[in-house]
Amino acid sequence: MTLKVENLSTHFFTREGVAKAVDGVSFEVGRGEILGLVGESGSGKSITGFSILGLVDPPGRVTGGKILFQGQDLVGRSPHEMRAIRGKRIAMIFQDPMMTLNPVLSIETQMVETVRAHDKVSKAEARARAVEALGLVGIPSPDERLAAYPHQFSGGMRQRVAIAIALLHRPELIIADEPTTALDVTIQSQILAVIQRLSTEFGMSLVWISHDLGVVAGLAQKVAVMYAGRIVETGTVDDVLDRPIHPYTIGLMRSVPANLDRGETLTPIPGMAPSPLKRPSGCPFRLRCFAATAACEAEPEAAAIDGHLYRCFNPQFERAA
Amino acid sequence: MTPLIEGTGVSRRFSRGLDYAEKLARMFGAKLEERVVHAVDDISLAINPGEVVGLVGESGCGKSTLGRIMAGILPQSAGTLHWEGKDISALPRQEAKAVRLTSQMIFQDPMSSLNPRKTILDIVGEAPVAHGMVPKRQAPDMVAALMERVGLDPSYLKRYPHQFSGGQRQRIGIARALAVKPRFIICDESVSALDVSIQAQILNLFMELKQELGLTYLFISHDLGVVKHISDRVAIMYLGRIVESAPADAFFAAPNHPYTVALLSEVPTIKQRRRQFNPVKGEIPSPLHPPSGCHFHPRCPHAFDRCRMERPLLREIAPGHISACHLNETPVLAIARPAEITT
Ligand SMILES: Nc1ncnc2c1ncn2[C@@H]1O[C@H](COP(=O)(O)OP(=O)(O)OP(=O)(O)O)[C@@H](O)[C@H]1O
Ligand SMILES: Nc1ncnc2c1ncn2[C@@H]1O[C@H](COP(=O)(O)OP(=O)(O)OP(=O)(O)O)[C@@H](O)[C@H]1O
Ligand code: SF4
Ligand SMILES: [Mg+2]
Ligand SMILES: [Mg+2]
Repeated sequence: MTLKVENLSTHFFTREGVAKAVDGVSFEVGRGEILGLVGESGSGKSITGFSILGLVDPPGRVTGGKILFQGQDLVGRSPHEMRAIRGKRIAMIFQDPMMTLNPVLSIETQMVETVRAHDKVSKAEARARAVEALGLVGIPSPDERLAAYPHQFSGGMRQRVAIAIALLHRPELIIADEPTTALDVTIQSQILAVIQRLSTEFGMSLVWISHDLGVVAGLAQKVAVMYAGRIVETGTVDDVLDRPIHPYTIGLMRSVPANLDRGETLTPIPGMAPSPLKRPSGCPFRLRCFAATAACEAEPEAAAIDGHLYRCFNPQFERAA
Repeated sequence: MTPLIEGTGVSRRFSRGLDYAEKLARMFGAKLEERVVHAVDDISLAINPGEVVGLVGESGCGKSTLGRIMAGILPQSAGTLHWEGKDISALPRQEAKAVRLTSQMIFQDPMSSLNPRKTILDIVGEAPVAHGMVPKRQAPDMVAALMERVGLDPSYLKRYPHQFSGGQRQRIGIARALAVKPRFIICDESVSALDVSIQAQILNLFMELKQELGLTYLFISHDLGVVKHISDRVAIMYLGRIVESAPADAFFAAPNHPYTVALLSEVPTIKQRRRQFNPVKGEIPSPLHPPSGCHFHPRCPHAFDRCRMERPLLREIAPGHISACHLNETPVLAIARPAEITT
C-alpha cells in the first residue's frame, strides 16, 4: 500500500473555537491507483492533502491518527525530514499553477533547481530531465520552451509545466488539489489524459481532489466522499457511483444536472454545510438528510459491505441514485 | 414571433491591457505591449419571449462581453440591438431607460457586486425606489416579499452581505435583479462558484421564476451539464463568434460543428468510467491573434484548405439548427461524426 491514512484529524485552534477541518479520516491508495477525494467546499479535502505533505500551519495541526507512506508514519516527522520527502517521493499539484511556479524565473531555472534540490546531478543532466518531463506532459518542442517564463504560457500550459515539475523525481505519490478546476473542458481533457498515462506507465499513485464527480468517474479507480471533515462513503468508483449508500452521496449525485437526463428535476440537498466551528452533534449531515431518524443524534461508526464503506445509521441499499 | 431582443452583426473590440504575470514580467524587462482584442466578432443572436438561451464557450471567448452588450451595460463597437422589433439606439430617452431597466444581469460572484456597507433592504430596495416604482416607506414590505420569494428569511432585512453564505448572497443578487420587475435576465456564470447542492437550489429557483414571471433568460455558462438542464436553445461560442446554435434537444442529439462535437465528447460525466481521454489537440488560441478562416481550424481534425482561408458562415442545417463549418457545404468531405453523444 503506497498510502494508508488512519483516523487522521487536523484541527485549527482559532479564537472562535476549534475548527475540526479533518476529523477522523481513513483511506488507502495502492501502487498505480488513483483515489478521487470529493466533497463540497469546506469539507476538508485540501487540509487532508496538506496534512499528508506536512504543510499544515498554525493555528492548525495534526491532532491524531497515522499517515503511513510506504509503511512509515509521516505524522510527527521533523520539517527537515518532510522536506526530504516532499517534492521527491510525494509531490503536490495545486489548482493555481502559480503556487508552484515562480513568475520571475525561467522554466529552465526552476526545473533545474528542483532536480538539483534532491539529486546531486550535473546541470546538463538536470536539464535533460526537465526536457523529458515537459515532453511527457505534452509541451511541444520542450527544448526551446525551457527558456520561456510562466507568463509566456497559457493557463493550461502553466498547469502542464507545474505537473512536469511534480514529475521530475518520479514521485511515488502525487496529491493533486483540483488541478483542472480552473481549466476549460478541452484543456482539462488533455491534462487528464497525461495523468492517466503516467499513473499506468510508472505506477504512480494519486490522490485526486475534486468536487467534480464526472472527472473522478473518468479517472479514478476508487472514490472517497467527504462531508464535514469525515469520509462518509468510500469504495470503488463503480460501487459508489452505481450503488451509493450514504444519503449525502445520493443527494450530491442528484444535484448535478449533467448526471440527469434533460428536463429531469434537480433534487437539491436542502440547507447548507455546517461551519466546522458549529457542527451538529451526532451525524453532521442529519439536519439536511432525507433519511434522518432519531438514531442519527448519535455518532455513526464506519461500517462496510464488500469493501464499500459508509458512515450512516440508515444506509440506502435499495435506492438507485 | 418578434424576438424580445435581437442583436444583429454585433461586434466589440477592446484594447487589451496586461495581466498580473505579464505586468510582473514587464517589470523584469520583458517586452510586452497592449493590443486589440475582438472580443465579440460580428454576432447575430435573437431571443424570443419566454425562451432560455444557453451561451456556452471556453474562457475568453467573449460570453460575458456579449452578455453585457445584450444587457445594455456595454456599448457595442458595431451592430444593432432591437428590443421587441425596435432599434434601441433610436428610442426616445425615457423608453430607452425603461428597456435598460427591464434587462437585468446576475453575476458569478455576488460578493463583488453587492455593496458591503449596505443592508439587504438598501441593496434590494434602492433601484425600485429610485425609479419611483415603489414609495420609500413601502420598500421594506416589498423587499421582505422578494426575500421570501427567493428563499431568504425576511427577518434578515437589516443584515449585511458578509453575514450570508455564498448561496444566500446569490439569492440576494437575484432579489435585487427582480426588484425592478425585469423581463429579460442575463445570468453570467451565476451558479458557477456555488457548491453543487446549492447550485441545484438556485437553478430550481431560476426555473420557478421563469414559470411564474414569464422571464426570458440568456444563460451564460461554461458548464454544458447546467446549460443542457436549463436551456431551450444552445449557442456555442468560439473566439468571439457563434459557431453553432440549435434547439437543446437537437443540439445534444446531433451536434454538428467539429468544435461542439469535441466539447460534448470531452465533458466528464459520471456515466463514463476510467475512460480513455482523447482530447482535441492544441491550445485555445489567443483572441489577440485569432487564426485565419475558421478560428477552429488549427485544432480541427477535419480541417482542409478552405478552412484556413475563408470564414465559414452560419448556415441552417436543420430547422432552427445553424452551424458554421465548411464541411456542411462539402458533402464529399463530410466525415462520419459520432452519431449521438450524451453529456
Ligand atoms: N487556517 C485556518 N483556520 C481555521 N480554519 C481553517 C483554516 N484553514 C482551513 N480551515 C477550515 O477547514 C475546513 C476545511 O477546509 P479545506 O480547505 O480543507 O476545504 P476543501 O474541502 O478543500 O474546500 P474547497 O472545495 O473550498 O477547496 C474549512 O471549513 C475551513 O474553514
Ligand atoms: N474591459 C476589457 N478590456 C480589455 N479586454 C477585455 C475587456 N473585457 C473583456 N476583454 C477581453 O475580451 C475577451 C473576451 O472576454 P469575456 O470576458 O467576454 O470572455 P468570457 O467568454 O466571458 O470568458 P470567461 O469564461 O473567462 O468569463 C478576452 O480576451 C478578454 O481578455
Ligand atoms: S446517519 Fe442519519 S442523518 Fe446521517 S446520513 Fe445517515 S440517515 Fe442521514
Ligand atoms: Mg480545497
Ligand atoms: Mg465571463
